[in-house]
Amino acid sequence: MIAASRAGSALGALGLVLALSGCAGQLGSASPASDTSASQSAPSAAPSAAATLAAPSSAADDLAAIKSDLDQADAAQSQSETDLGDADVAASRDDN
Amino acid sequence: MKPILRSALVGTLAVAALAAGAVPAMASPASSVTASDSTANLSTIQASGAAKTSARITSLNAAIARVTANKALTEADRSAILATLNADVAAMKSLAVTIAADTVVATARADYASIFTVYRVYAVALPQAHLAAAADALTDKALPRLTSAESKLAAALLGKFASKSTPELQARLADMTNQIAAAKAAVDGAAGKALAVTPADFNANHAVMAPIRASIVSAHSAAKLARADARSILAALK
Repeated sequence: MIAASRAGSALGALGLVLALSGCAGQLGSASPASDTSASQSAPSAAPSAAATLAAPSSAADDLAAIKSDLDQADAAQSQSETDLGDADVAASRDDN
Repeated sequence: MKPILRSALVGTLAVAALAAGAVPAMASPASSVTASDSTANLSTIQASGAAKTSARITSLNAAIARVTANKALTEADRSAILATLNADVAAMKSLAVTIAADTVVATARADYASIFTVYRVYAVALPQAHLAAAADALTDKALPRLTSAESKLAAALLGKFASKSTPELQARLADMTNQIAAAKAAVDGAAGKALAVTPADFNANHAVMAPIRASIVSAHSAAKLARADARSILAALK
């Protein structure tokens, strides 16, 4: 009877320890778990956000690159036309 | 033109000009040496010679600075142009000294005539430098950028912007392609042709530069149309 009582007490104590340990585990891991959750959700959210931004910006970048090419072509032709005008000015001077 | 060849031509052409009484007409009434004036005295020829050589030296030095700073010129063309311009500066300085030291009217007149007939600074050296620069700006800068834009527009109409592609935009793209090709064909070799013209070529044919200029103008027109096509496509895709 005594032995059974002792065994029951021991099991009760063990249960209490395990219960407390479990709570502690939960409490102790609460912060890391939330960190993990944050760190896991960030990467998963980041590509999603990047994908959302990348699609329109990629198209915009394409158009910007075309515009840049055209602007450079404009500038080069403007230079060419200036050079042509300079040739005309020189040729119009008395040299005959 | 090679300085040595020019020097070799000085005597021949100057004598020929003298024999023909072809002293160039003067722009300023103050300098009285004209083609019809065979009686200009030594001091008048010398004064006019000093003014003419000085003006050319000023123009040449200004052109040298611009050619040196020009980012569109190929290095080979820049080198060729600067060689001619610097040689002409040296020649004008030398001629100024020679004419000032002349003691015989006929000799002074021949030296004076060589300013024009041998060097053609205004008729050949400077125009050919500017024409070559104009051609290089097209062939090495403007047209490659237009070609790049054309490729990107074609990719855009087939890719991300396929939903916006219309027969009209495709037609504009096709026209852009054709205009770029036309511009390239028109300006092809123009810089080399300009730099190959010599004063002797000009003396034989005063319109020798005209076809080169016309080809560059034609390329300008085609490139302008290509850019207009591109701009309209770009606007439609926005």
